[in-house]
Amino acid sequence: MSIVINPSICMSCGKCVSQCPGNLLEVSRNKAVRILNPSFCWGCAACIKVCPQGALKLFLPPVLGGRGARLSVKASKGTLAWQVELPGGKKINIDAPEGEDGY
Amino acid sequence: MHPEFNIQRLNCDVLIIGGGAAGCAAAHKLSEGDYQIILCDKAPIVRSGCLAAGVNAINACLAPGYSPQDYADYAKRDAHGIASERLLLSMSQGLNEATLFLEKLGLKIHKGPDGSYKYRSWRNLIVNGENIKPLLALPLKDKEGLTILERVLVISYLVTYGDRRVSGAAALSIDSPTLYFIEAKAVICATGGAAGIYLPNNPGYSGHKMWYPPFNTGAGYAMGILAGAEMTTLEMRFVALRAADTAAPTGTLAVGANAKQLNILGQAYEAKYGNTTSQRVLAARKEQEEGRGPCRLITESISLKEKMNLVRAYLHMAPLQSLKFIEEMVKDELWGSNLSPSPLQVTVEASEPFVLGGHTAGGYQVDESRKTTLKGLFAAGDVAGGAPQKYVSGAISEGFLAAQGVKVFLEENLEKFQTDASLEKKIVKLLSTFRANEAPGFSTQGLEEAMQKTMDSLAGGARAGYAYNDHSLRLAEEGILELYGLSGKLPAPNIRDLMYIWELRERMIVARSLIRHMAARRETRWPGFGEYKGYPLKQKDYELFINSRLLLAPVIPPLEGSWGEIEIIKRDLVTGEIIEEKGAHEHSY
Repeated sequence: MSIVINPSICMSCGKCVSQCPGNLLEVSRNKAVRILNPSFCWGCAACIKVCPQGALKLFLPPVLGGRGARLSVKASKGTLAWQVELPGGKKINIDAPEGEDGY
Repeated sequence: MHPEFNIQRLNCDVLIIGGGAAGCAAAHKLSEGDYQIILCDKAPIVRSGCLAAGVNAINACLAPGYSPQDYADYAKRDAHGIASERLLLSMSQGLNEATLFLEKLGLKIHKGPDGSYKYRSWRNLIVNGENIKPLLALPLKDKEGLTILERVLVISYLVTYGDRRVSGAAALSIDSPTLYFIEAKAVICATGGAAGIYLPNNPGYSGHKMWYPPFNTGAGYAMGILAGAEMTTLEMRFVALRAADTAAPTGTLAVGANAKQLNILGQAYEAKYGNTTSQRVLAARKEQEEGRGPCRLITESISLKEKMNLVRAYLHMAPLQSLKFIEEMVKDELWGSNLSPSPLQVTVEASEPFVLGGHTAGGYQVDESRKTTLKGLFAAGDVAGGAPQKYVSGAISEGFLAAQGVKVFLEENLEKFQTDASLEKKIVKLLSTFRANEAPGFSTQGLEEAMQKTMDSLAGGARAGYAYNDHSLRLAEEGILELYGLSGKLPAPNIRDLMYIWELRERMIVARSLIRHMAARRETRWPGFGEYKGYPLKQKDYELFINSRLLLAPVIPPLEGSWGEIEIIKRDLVTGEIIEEKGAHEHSY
């Protein structure tokens, strides 16, 4: 699995469900969205891009070098504002503006 | 306990199976005309297929001064000769049109101060392409005459009596027991290639963190094989050289940030192996095998700002790699102090083998209009063979070609046809059998692992050093047939179980044809992708296409037992004419 879902802020709006290329997300009435077959996730981040609550975050499993950081993203004004939360709580903002990054 | 299927019958002019780059492009083109179109996808098209995470480059386009012939020459050279120049040329002629098409849809292509494209190389443009798939897919939702069926698993072609014209497909909703029988005057298959045939590089829980979409299970190949379509060059498997762990692309570091590829001794090793894709994969593998690994891509010492630019670039296509960079910087305590510039690096690693016609050339035998050998059926994108190095723009170009091919086909084929009615009964019976099966003591996942291990150890997977021999291939085929027999006993208490069973069996069907293709090419042409022990070199005799076709093709896969004999056909590289047809009864190992 590559995403964690925070059930206390998920509004069960289902936006993420209609994005997953593996059909792995499911929302049942009045309950937070859940991931079916967590090991099937590709890690594409489509779901976290549409979550209006920031309830979904991407993480890197330890076997791939992950050590607890979590990636989330908010869409605003046509660009994406990415944020990495480190295990100690420190936050790193990475704006990906329309501008050109040179690579 | 097992409700009957709710059957819905649909009709259209054109059925497009798969809403990735090629399928969406075909839908865009055809919806300019007056056609009733149905586009089916297993997932929501907004993010389905290879483009889910995005891209940060258009890897196939032509800078001013370069011609389609240049691209065709490059792709053919890279494939060590085994590619169709005619198919490559027709695809290459549409590369710049495809790029322009993407830009018109809103893709942000980097430009210089004078407004001209900023090329990374003569065939490579940098883009901010995180949103490439929504840009491509969402406008289709408003097209008149186009019906989009999402979250349906296409399970089989429908064919006519007698001449076996493809006349539609059967599809299963994954949300309800609804079974669609869709009749169409023409069908475009754009399902992509096949992942998950070999044991993934990453273990269990992270097994789907792979180079290719794990949801591309070779459906288009399997359906085509079963319906008797001719397949080409499946034996040219693709092994990606990628960032270890995340399978993220390395081009951004290598070409964009001018990173050097070094072995653990700090030596640049690539030049001595050659510069084709398979040679570069071989280079990293050999360095590793001979004790000079792991190999890494290392940038010059760069500032934090430059590092963050790379992190940002990866967010457009491989967000897990961006996260990995950050995790590594954290480990270096970069965030707590003001470190002086230091390099950024990734370990490079060869992936498990995949089957696809997008990077390599495995897929349907097609002509320039992307017509397959089955009447009424066209193929575009990764599922179409013979034309490697497509990338997104090549897939779009092929989608356009297939759309054009379909238009001509519909003008020329006005006669009525009748779908073989017995197929419907067979499909319902087969699906119902899985629904009614009792738990057999093994699971779908268990058989999937067994299939992957069989292929990995006997048919040239990573753990076998990508090597195989006559005997191992024979054993691999026996193993696959045995496992397929067992798969007939799998139970599907709900529809999703049925989907996973179906996908597993598709991959087994592809695996068997793949094995036969590998056995038929008695040489080692792409040592980075695989090594045929006993035939270690490239052979002049094998400058031809290895094709295959199922004799007495059943269309609907049998519950258990073999689905038919595979005939190997050799075709001329240039003319495409048949050189040799080998009866399936002749031993091909």
